[in-house]
Amino acid sequence: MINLNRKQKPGITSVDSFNLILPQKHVLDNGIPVYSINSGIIDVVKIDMVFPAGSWYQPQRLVAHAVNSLMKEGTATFSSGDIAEKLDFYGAFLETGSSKDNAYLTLYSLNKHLPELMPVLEEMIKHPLFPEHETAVFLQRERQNYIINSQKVKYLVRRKFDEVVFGKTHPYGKIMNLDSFYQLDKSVFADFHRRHYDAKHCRMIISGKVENTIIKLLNQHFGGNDWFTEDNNLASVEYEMHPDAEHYHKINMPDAVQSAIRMGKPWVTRTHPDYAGLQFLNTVFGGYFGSRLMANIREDKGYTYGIGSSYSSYLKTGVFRIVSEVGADVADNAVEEIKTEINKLQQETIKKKELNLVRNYVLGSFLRGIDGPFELGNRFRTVMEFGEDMDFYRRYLDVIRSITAQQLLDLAQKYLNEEEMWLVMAGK
Amino acid sequence: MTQFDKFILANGLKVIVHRDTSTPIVAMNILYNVGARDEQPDKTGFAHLFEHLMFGGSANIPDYDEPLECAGGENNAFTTNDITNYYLTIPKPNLETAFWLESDRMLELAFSPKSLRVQRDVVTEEFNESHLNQPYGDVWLLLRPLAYKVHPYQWSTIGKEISHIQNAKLNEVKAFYQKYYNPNNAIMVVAGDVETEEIKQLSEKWFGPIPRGGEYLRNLPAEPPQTTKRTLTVERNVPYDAIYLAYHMCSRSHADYYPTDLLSEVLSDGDSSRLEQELIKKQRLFSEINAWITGDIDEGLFIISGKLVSGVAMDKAEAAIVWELEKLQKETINKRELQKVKNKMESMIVFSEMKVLEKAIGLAYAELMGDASLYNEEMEHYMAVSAEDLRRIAQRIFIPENCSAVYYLAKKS
Repeated sequence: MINLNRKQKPGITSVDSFNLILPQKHVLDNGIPVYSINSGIIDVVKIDMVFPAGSWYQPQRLVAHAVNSLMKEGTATFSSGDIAEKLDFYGAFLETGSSKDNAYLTLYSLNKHLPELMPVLEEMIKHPLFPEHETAVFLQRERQNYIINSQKVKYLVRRKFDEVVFGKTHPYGKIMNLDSFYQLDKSVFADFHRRHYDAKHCRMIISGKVENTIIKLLNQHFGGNDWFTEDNNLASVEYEMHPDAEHYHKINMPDAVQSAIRMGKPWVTRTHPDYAGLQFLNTVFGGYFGSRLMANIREDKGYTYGIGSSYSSYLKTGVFRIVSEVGADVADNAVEEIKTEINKLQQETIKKKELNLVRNYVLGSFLRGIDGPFELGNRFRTVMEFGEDMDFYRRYLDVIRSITAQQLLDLAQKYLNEEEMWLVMAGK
Repeated sequence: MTQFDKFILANGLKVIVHRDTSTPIVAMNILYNVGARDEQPDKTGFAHLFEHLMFGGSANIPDYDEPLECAGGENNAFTTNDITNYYLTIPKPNLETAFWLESDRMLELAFSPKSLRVQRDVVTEEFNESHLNQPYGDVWLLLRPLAYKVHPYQWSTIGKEISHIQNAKLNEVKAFYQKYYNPNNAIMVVAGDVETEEIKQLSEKWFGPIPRGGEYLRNLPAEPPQTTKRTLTVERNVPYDAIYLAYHMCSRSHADYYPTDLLSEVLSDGDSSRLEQELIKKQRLFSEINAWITGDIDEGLFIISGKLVSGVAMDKAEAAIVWELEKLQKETINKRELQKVKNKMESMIVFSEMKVLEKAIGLAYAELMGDASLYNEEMEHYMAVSAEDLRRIAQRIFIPENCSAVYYLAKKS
């Protein structure tokens, strides 16, 4: 005990084995693929239903989100109140959500209650009615939330950023605004639902303690030929991005104590060979607590409670974003420091120590990200949407393990050019 | 049933070990028995500021985060009115790094003047971001001092005012550390694919040599019963009126905690809850409404908060809430509704046991409440609640003289 040297850190090893459980594929009688990840020790299950019903496809702003949210608000057999009562009574949690590309309905349940819940889920998916009253309540609530959020600097820059980076005419850049609520034609909901939530376009992922009886249940409720929409070929329309020619946008909020900053540009999608390297580069720059941005702008300057960058991918494009809220009087300094950090990454190779640290951190994060059946399900869903399988992660990990400082410098020079980025600020 | 072993080091550190072989990740949670309630009224926000300083380097390790990240770990911390809780997850082979890091900052912090200077600014920005630069963000700064006149729950963890943070001196911060950051004032939980014997050895090796500190005996003034309704009306630059009602409730260790928690579930957990169905969907008075309990260790608050639909009068909105509360006093809830909130609670508990980190935090908190085994008894307590219990609690707490109300009005432009 006396000899304990606290300056000497214990030895560490890099994580090198990952238990990437491959999903088992089942096909329902009508052809719907169900991918199951059975690795749970607790009797719970998560059922994820994925449909091509994101805002990419919507005929008007708000439609994709409204349809997805309103599916639980009343069907031919169950009222909105019935559905809510049944889900709550059986202790289930239903998540609905729509992104730019796809839309989701996700049910979390104890295995023992699934037989009671399945008919409710079936009704919601197949026969929603979009009743007038529930729709009005929903839209009123959404509108009030929209107006409240419009007072928050971070929401203002979030909306503006997508609009200027993707362009107002591209589906990714068509951002909901107040007019969307008044112009909304509710009569399109049923048709949007009919075309985008049908058996032909449905995919399911089921994770947790997956027993065979559950697959049977799914087949019983979703495996029939009763929910194909005739002649339903979703047109694959391509849109060109017309980003804003002006790269700096300022939203004036005279009373704001802090300014929100959002800066970035489109990057390549997940399927591009540079994807894994760019994730690594993003982590160094702003992707973890010890990142360059945090070390400088929070931990050295004290300008902010938090700053970070992220790199995510939609189906048609990836996007890199730097995000922060900073003291109003130091906003310009913060932007200068961001630029300094960009320049550093473009001019100097990353030192071995930092490279090693980030490598270990990313591997550790990956291990956390596949810890448990639900996490594995999430990882699989992400790659499935891009037409990939779990092998994607093997290739990803290979890059993380082997990438060099020179390769990262090359990536920084290619992808981090500040003059190609857009900067949106909201504040004083 | 979450199995665990428990032992106490000679210096008073309590250690709990939970074995879960299903994961490659180990969670370590260290709970220090100090929160905002332990602060001086003229030095509020200290416990939370201190949480930030705990990452500014310790006696033998200049930076906390870097070695942890290098070992593939991740960490965070939170401060409440009752506790300051630090947690991390790390791949099993690198577990010793966690012992090395956590024991060094329990032994002695570096207290660099720069760390204090920078973190004062960081916390100021946190205060701005979460309380000032958000619509309705300052409501807790209003509601707490209205509901509590004596007990230190009258201030938020972020502090009463930002000057308390800005004026924090190094010697004050050091005194705070000496008083509270001792092994005998902490509970450590290690959860993952670990053996108790190996954790015992690592604990003795790294935490054993830390000297025991003075005993901290908490002696906080009890909040006297409220005898008249308190109200506060403010106008702010927000788009919609909002209402916040706070009713005093029992402490965390009181048997009535469980029925009180279930009452909040009846009112607002899930789409089928009463406030959602009645006041949002049917009567369309609110765009958002929530009921929840603060769950504090000392006597806490039962909160109902709502944002009014544009054009609805405040008195009408409040009367509608009160009507729902009175219904709970007059009629016992039916069997199915009671079963519903119990089922919901069962689900929540089962789902929360899927992660070693959540289990570790739960065990530490239960140990603070008296015994880690309480963690396994939660479900039983909820299942034993009767409809009559709910009515009894509603009758006791939902009375006007027990209520503090903030009417948060949109400024007319």
